[in-house]
Amino acid sequence: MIRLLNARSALALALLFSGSAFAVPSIKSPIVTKGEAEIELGADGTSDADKAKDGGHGLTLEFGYGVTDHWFTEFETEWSNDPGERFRHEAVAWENRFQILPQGEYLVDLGFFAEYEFGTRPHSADEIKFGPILQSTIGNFRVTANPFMSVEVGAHSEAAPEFSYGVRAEYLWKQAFNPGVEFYGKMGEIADGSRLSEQDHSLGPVATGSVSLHSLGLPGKLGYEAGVLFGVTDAAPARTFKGKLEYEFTFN
Amino acid sequence: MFRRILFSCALLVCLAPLSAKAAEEPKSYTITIKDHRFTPSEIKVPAGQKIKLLVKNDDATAEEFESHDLHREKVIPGGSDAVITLRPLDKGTYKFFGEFHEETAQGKIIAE
Repeated sequence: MIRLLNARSALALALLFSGSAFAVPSIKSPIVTKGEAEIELGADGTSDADKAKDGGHGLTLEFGYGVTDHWFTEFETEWSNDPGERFRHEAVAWENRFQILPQGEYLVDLGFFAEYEFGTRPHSADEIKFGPILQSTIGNFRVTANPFMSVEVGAHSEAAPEFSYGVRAEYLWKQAFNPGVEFYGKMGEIADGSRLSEQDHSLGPVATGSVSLHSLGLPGKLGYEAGVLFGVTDAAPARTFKGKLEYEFTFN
Repeated sequence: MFRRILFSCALLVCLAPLSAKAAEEPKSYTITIKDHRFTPSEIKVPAGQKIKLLVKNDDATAEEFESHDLHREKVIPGGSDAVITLRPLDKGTYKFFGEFHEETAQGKIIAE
């Protein structure tokens, strides 16, 4: 019975990680700044007593630019490995964020996310991911939600559309340190209606912040994100460590 | 299931922004950036009301309006302007500064 359950869990994991394996989890903002450029390096890794979930890694390098006050575009290249596999190039992606409403005009700031990911491994499918970006700031508290849908496309597409979410709740304390909590989940293939234990849900503490480099005579800011996510369902790794460094500067 | 999730997302997107539309047009305040300084450098605004800041950059170079107290940052290219909408503020003092010329570009909003 236990073996059967393990086999079932392994299958669920295989399905969950079959898309963009171990992409570094991150929350997208609906706010876009024209002329702002970003270089971002992100990494994550999993740890679990179960070998099927232990030792997955992801590494992303992103270059982004605010083309207008409403459109930020970004190019990303991604390396990763599933547990027990070789670390190798996974995909390149073209990501776009659109700011739909002026910041602060309404209770909720609204944006839209759209990404096309080109799978670079043999027989890997391309993927389109899209969805709204919602953010609300009340006093020093901010909540940002990314409910996204992803659809495999191209010659090697197999999986049905999937729903995933990311939520960050944070306290805007200091520019250099904002503590918060993040939640992430992948519901699996929507058509299958995966059981909760087969879905990948995790949550944990994160910290974000940035420091201006102007005092050092350099342009721009250096930002960071760091956190650890704890799996709350059987399919999720027990721990996922994530980190991101970002250099932000302005062309004008 | 798929349709239900799609419908929920669509509903959320449509209804969320409508939930807090201000009943009346917010008061607007103009701040000018000249020689890397804000004028006026101190603005008194009513607490508990949404306001708009029209920030005009009369310098030739860009400036970034930034405020940790207001949780805002906005790059304003030289010779242009930007509108910054602020949701109702509690009573207090909110500092702002120019990210690119922090030594001279300083200001504050006093909500009372």
